[in-house]
Amino acid sequence: MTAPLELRGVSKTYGEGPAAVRALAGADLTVTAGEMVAVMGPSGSGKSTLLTIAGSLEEPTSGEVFIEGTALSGLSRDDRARLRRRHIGYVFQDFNLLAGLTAVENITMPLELDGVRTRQARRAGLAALEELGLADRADSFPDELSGGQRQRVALARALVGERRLLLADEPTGALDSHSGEGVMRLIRSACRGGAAAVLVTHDAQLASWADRVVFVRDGEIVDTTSPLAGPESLLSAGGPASGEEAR
Amino acid sequence: MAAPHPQAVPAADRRPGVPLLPKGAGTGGLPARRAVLRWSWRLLRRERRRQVLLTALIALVVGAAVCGLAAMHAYVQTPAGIFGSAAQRLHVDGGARGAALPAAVAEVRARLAPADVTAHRQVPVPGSVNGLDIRAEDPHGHFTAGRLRLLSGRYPAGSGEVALTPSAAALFHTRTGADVVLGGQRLTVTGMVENPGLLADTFALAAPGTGSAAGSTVAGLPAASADVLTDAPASAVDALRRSSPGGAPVVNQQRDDYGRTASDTFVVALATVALLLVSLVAAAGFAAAAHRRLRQIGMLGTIGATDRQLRWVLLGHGALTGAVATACGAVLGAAAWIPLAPRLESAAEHRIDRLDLPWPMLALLLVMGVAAPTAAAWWPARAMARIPTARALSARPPRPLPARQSVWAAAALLAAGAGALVPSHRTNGLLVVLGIVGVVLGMLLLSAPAVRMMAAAAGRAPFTTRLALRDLGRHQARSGAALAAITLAIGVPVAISVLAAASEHTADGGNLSDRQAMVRVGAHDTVVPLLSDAARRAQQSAVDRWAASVGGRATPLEMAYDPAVPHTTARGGLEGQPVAETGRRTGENVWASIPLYVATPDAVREFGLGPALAAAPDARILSSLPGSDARPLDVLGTTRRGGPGEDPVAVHVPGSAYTAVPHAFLTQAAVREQGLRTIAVGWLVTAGQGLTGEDRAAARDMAASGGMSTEFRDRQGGLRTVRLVSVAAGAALALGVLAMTVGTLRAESADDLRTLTATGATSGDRRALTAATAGALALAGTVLGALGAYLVLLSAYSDDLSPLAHVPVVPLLMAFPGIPLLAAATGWLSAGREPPGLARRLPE
Repeated sequence: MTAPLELRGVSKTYGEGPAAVRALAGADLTVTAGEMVAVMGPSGSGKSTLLTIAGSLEEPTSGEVFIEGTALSGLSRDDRARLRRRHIGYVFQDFNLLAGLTAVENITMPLELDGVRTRQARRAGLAALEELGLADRADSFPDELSGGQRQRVALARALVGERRLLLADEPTGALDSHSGEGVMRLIRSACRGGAAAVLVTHDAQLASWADRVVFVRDGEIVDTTSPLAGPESLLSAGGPASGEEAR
Repeated sequence: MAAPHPQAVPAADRRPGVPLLPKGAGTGGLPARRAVLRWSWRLLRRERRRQVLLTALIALVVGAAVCGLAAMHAYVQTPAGIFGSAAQRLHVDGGARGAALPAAVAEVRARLAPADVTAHRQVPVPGSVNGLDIRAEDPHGHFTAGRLRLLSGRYPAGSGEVALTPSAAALFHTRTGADVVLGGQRLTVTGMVENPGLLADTFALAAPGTGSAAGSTVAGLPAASADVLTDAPASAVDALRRSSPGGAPVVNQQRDDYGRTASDTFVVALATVALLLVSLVAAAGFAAAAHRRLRQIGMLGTIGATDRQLRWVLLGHGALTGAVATACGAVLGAAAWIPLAPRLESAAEHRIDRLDLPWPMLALLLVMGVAAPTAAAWWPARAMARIPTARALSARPPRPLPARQSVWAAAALLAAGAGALVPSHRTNGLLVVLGIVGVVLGMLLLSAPAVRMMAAAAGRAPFTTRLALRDLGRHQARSGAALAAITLAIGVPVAISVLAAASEHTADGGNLSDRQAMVRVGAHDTVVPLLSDAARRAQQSAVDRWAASVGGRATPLEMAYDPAVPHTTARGGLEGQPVAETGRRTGENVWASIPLYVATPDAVREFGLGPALAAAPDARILSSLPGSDARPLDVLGTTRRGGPGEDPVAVHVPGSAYTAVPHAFLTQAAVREQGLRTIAVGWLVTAGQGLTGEDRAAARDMAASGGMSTEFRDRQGGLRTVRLVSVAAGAALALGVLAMTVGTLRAESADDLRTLTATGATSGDRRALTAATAGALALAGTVLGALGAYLVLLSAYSDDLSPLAHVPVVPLLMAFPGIPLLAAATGWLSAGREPPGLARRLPE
């Protein structure tokens, strides 16, 4: 089976000539189904650029990105948009919910953009909210939800449908530790269900939820490691879980 | 975690090489559009305060257009007052004592059935040169509906009864139930009636005749003429007219819309220009909205919206704004129209049905009301959708497009516009329209480069001016659109003002000199009212007295007529005689004509025709028209038909530069040869000095009491008003646009303002910032607008630039520097308030 995400020699340079800034240099990364990868590095190291390129929001200067085995370079803008709609879910630090749409409408938007009828999409959205314990807030607008609730809604939107690649940029950055843990638990749960996740973070504790940690510095992937069993393993009934078990 | 996607290809089932997305799948279709529109609507509701001005502006334009269209449509004369519901109206002249009428009416009825026949007879009105028409008309006829309405009492039923219009009742000091003596006949007034399609129609209504008397008698006495209303084919009517049924001459008139369609089209065209202007303002507003929503658009991009779906967000905004504003405008227009309609009736001189509206035109107007803001949203929507998602997520606006392309496109359009106008010679409508559209579009395209140029030139300006100009450049999309709107708002009135100045008469031109007056029998028309000898003598005496009072002389003017041409109805409802004119054929069944006077001894003396008559004794037409000796002139309006080469000999005579004085004369020899007769048509009065307002008023009184009309030198006060009002209206419009634009710009720059305040900027700095923004936009708009206006006019008048030598100085000064100064002053006065707290930001 093909990997949900594969980056081969991806480089990104902003600007030209003396003002050129190299954000990413020859990055190689493969994320398999069910795997959760944390990307760490100092500010300006290229973490977010890696995420936006992986998610087809930006084009690499060189190299190739494969989503489910399909090269992005061969796709038009609209095809890339459809790809995001069906296969990639984003979660941002500041939630990025659409103001003016209720929680359930935010979740159903990708489905409706893809032509799913409103009623059918709403059923799917409500089911997602039910799983997240937010069924009673389905018709609340984003500014009526707490930070944790908003991020859970964003997560539901990122995973609705059959998406198998979740890209998260500091997903718990704006949350308290309790809410943050809840969100991480949900991401972990999605990975158990077969989704692949890439998580950009500064927080080592957060990274410990991942199966693998990738370190980026000056645009280059300098190290890849499998962390020790993370907090989730401590919370599980069977004691600390090995990386293999987690996968 | 969620329901599976119905169209996605499960990863487990996919084989390498099989496309991830089925081709053509995932366009979203209706559900996607509905979802995007729903979000757009919600955003619109959240931002309703920001949208109030724009919505109000569109609603105002649509409302004014709806009410204006309804009023203009209703104001134009309705054909129902003359034709009823018929397509043709024939006037059958009964000759002396109406002897030929019974046979003629019988034949008409037989050949044109179904037809409604109305018999007419004129009776004198004591103390007036005008007579009163007694008509026998069937109020329940097939075609007469719309010509008669019972106000009170009942319709007359017998030969001894009449119903009167209120004005006729007032003339004879009578009322319903009383008797009235009409032409020596005592009749009982049974009620009050009116012609709802022609309220000025003063008449007495008699019961329609029965049997053989139908259509040929009025109140038991023979009728003089009859009107026939019919829907018979034109060919049948023409055949009947040629055969002169019963020996009576017949004049045919086809139903006409009296320019109603043209006036409706004019209003819609005017509304289109106004909506174009509003669209430019709206484009600026939508550009601001697009900027505000950039992050949200980025978010939508991350969840997979295509470019088209992203465009739909703002297009939906435009369409929804347009729909809401148009609905409000339609209600506003209707609310204004309903109470206005009855007040318009007396001015329009016909009853107005509030629901008798040009519905297709109204529908077109409403569609335009929605389409214009939608189209205005298109460009900002396109630009917004093309911003890379990552850039949009960081809310960074797109880089302004290079100005070079706009400049080249503008240059091409300006050249094409001027190129179309030069050969148009102001007469080829298509070229004129194409030329104006080209120049207008060219000037609009120059707006964005002009904004960039101002921003680039800001380097050495004082701090506040520099910041203001650079802000304009940063927000080029909206400031460019606003500048385009101001350019149009100024350009159109400047062009009108210059044209009005060009049209103004010089002292030795115009219709008449300030010492001359034309006094005409009846109105200025080719049908001269037939008056009794006593009435003529009374008119002559009145004119002589007035001429003496202004120290001048009255030269009698006569025209010729063919006795074989039947009488018809002159303006004012009197029986009249069509007179001959002279002219040339200018096309298939198209003739250009001017009045033809008779070279009476008085006229020969007054207009110095003697030498020409002596030099060319065989001359039949003496004319001061250019080229009248080279190109043949014909005598029009007679039954005589000359063969080829039989055109009367025309001789050119020196004439006056004034247009209303006689310019063509038929010699008395020609009158005799062609068997014509002459009729007094008026007087040219030349006073000893310039006529004063009192002299004019006295002449008008004299004319009104004697059934005459007067014409004096047109002072063209209207043109002066046009010049000033057009520029003032354009200035008001431009200032309104400026207020909206500057308000939006400064609101978007609120953060900068807070920073400025935090770093110690005073209220004077803030005022200067707003004043510089407003003044710079106004200055650029005024310059571009005036340049555009002059480019159009110079191109159109390239064959003769002399009319443009009359420069409308005051209106131009009002435009420049008046508008920029006023804009800057208004900006200065309205700004200065300290912005809200530094920590407070605009909510997303």
